[in-house]
Amino acid sequence: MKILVLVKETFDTETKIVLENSKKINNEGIKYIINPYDEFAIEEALRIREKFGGEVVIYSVGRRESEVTLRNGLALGADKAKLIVSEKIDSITVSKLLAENITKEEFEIILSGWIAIDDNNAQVPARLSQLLDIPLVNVVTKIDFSDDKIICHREGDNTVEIIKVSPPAMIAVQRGINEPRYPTVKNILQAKKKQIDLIISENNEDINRINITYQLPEVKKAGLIIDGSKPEKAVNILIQKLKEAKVL
Amino acid sequence: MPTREIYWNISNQAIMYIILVIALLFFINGLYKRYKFWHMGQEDKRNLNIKRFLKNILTHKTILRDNLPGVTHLMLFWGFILLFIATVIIGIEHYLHLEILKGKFYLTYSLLTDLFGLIILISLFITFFRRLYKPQEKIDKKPEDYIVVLLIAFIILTGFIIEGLRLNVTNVLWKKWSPVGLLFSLGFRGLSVSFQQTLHKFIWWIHVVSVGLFIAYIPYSKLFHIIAAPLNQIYSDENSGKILKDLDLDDDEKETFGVGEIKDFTWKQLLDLDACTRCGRCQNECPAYLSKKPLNPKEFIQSLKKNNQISPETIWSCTTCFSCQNNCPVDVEHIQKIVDMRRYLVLTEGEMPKVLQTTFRNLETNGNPWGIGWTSRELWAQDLGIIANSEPMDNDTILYWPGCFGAFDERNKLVSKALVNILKKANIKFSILGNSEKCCGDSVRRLGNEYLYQMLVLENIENMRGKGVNKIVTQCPHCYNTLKNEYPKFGGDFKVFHHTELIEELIKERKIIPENYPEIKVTYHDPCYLGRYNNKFATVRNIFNSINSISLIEMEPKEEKSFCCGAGGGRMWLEEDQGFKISSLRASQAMSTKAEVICTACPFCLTMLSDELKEKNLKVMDIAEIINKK
Repeated sequence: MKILVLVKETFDTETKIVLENSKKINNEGIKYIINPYDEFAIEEALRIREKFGGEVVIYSVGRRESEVTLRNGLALGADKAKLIVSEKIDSITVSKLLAENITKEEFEIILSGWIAIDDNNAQVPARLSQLLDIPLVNVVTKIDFSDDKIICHREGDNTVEIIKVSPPAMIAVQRGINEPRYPTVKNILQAKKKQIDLIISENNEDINRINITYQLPEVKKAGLIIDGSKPEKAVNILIQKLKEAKVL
Repeated sequence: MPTREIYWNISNQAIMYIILVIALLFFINGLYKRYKFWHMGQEDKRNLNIKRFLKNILTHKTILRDNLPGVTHLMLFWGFILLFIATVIIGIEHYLHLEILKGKFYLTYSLLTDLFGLIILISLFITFFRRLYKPQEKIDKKPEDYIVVLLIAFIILTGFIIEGLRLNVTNVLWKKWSPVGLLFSLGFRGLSVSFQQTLHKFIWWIHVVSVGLFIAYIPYSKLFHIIAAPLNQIYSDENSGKILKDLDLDDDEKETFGVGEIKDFTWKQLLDLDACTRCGRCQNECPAYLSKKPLNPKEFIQSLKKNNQISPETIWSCTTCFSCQNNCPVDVEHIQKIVDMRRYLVLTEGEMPKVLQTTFRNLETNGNPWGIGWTSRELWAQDLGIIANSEPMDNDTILYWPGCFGAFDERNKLVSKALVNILKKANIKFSILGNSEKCCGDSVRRLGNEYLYQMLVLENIENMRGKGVNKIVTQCPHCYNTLKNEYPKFGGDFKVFHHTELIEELIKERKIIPENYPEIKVTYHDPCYLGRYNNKFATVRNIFNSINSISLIEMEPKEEKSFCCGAGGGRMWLEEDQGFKISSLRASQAMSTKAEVICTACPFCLTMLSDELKEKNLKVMDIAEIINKK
């Protein structure tokens, strides 16, 4: 079984984002990781490969330097990786670039995380499946196989939706589907030798029409705790503060 | 002239040689089997540690830490040595046809062998009844344990009986020089001379057969420690466990890393298993065992010897506090084995408690175990107006290494601030690495993640070299141990001090004036990585002794026997969901001193003990905070 896994390189959740200007995020101080939801997808792909054999190929769209991050995916055990180099990584661009390249592949399943932790857009799985004209099962928490069908579980409130789908299909996974492994040294050493294909994206008119600007959210003021040991005094301070804030 | 006829009353001596040769064959066969067992192990470059061996074996230093069994073993040991020499003398006299055993020398010889025989008997008597009455969980009660004692006692007793019978029959004038034999002879006084002579012959042969049994039994029983223990001490490495062995991680031919099966251990580690006599000194002070975790260091070694499976829970239970190795009289090296097995789990199998995976990831991305953004590492210092040096430091500037706790943990940041205050007041030139500092790697190394450890070490060394670091003062004994003792192997040669050493020095130089401190009663908790790991027992005590108003009330156990807080060996980052909490055991020991402040010098200990004593009337403070508070 050939499984493609879509991986997005994202900022580490603890990264403090600094803007250079409204178009550019300052790269200094940023730590990159594999989008944790995509890590669930890699893990699931590896488990499927362990059961049925086959190949796990990582696909990613992003900056050239994200090779380093993708190496971590290979260290988990993926067979190879393909990186489509692109400065723009909005969902429209990414889906298009992926579709252009994936149509050339033969595969049974495309796995990905249902959302990325940086932009929280959750659009690529849907867009890509449309472009490739394959079914999408989204927010999946369990994958099984029966005959030639893929059985996907989706958890709702007190219900489980079970969806049967025939390959090729796109499955976007949710937290809880598995617990990703920790790379062994053997795999890390092997990953160093594995190939990462760089695909340079051609300048595409549609893509150039997309424009993204950034701005930082306003910083919330820290809360104020008033010493409550003397209630009368505390109430007075509170009233004063509320007046200052023009609430009263 | 006083002397004694060798083989008096004995004929057919050839039979004795046959018995002894058979015994020797059993012995050699057993020895060969053990040799093959060691030989199965991997390479291990060891130096001959003759000095430690002699010191340990002649003085019984470690064994004597446990008073009664220590003294009885000392008696047994020297008894055996003397009787062995006595037998050699007889051999020399007999085979070289020399007449050594006569006159005064013979009389002394006779008296000494008698007395030392008696010493052995007394020690066996104590050993036997001690084992009988001690509870099962403190001492093993296997058949072998009794057989060994009874067999030796039988040999000595039959020896005295034949001596007594000989004295009765020959009735020599100098028989009072064999006082114990003489005492035994009293029992046979009423019997006829010819019967006593026959009885002598009979028991003499029983004596020889029992000696044969003893020799043959050695390699098949705990008696084998007679051979394995001295060997193990000769090849012992005092730093084993304190400075962990490095692991070549670039060898992509290698299929496994760490120890996954018995043959992955080195020959020395396998010899360790044979040197163990199940004496239990390791378990007596083991925090894991005493808090009812699955690890018991004695059972661990014995299970390995039997090649039994060791559960991951057992392997993860160790706090690497070093108390087992400190107490082991035969230098068994437990900690490296535990770490080797953790290495296998982490590096080869990728199997570890889920929480650890998160900790490792955090360290990989942000260089600290909590995964706090790496750009906030120097925030604590910014509040104090300290800016990390981007320029290379000059030679007399000290690098202050707060470590992850000192930089990120709210409680321990107070210690960093106190220490900075001390440095400033004493006009010490210092700098920090700030955001470019990364976790020292101590925990991950002891958790078996050598790959991540080496990554952190190499980054830190490169960084420090680039900044011209020469002298480092750390706040954490774990940083201290690895920076000082383990970094040199990776090319990091820095002069490393713990802040307690620096404070002691500053008091000596009168840069800190030990006066005008408030009157307080303090007790001190020895951090394992400062005390047992680096022998710094006196530093903090010297500091307290130089301050009149502070009175130190020692808590038990202390110094070499000090009890772990439970956080070492990476246990800080694991759940403690089995048995009691180790920290609560230590906290109650501290409570019983009735001190007002419990002082320590380690962020791990400070965290563990503070958590335990939150609601109690006992403050937990770092020594730097006490010194800064004036």
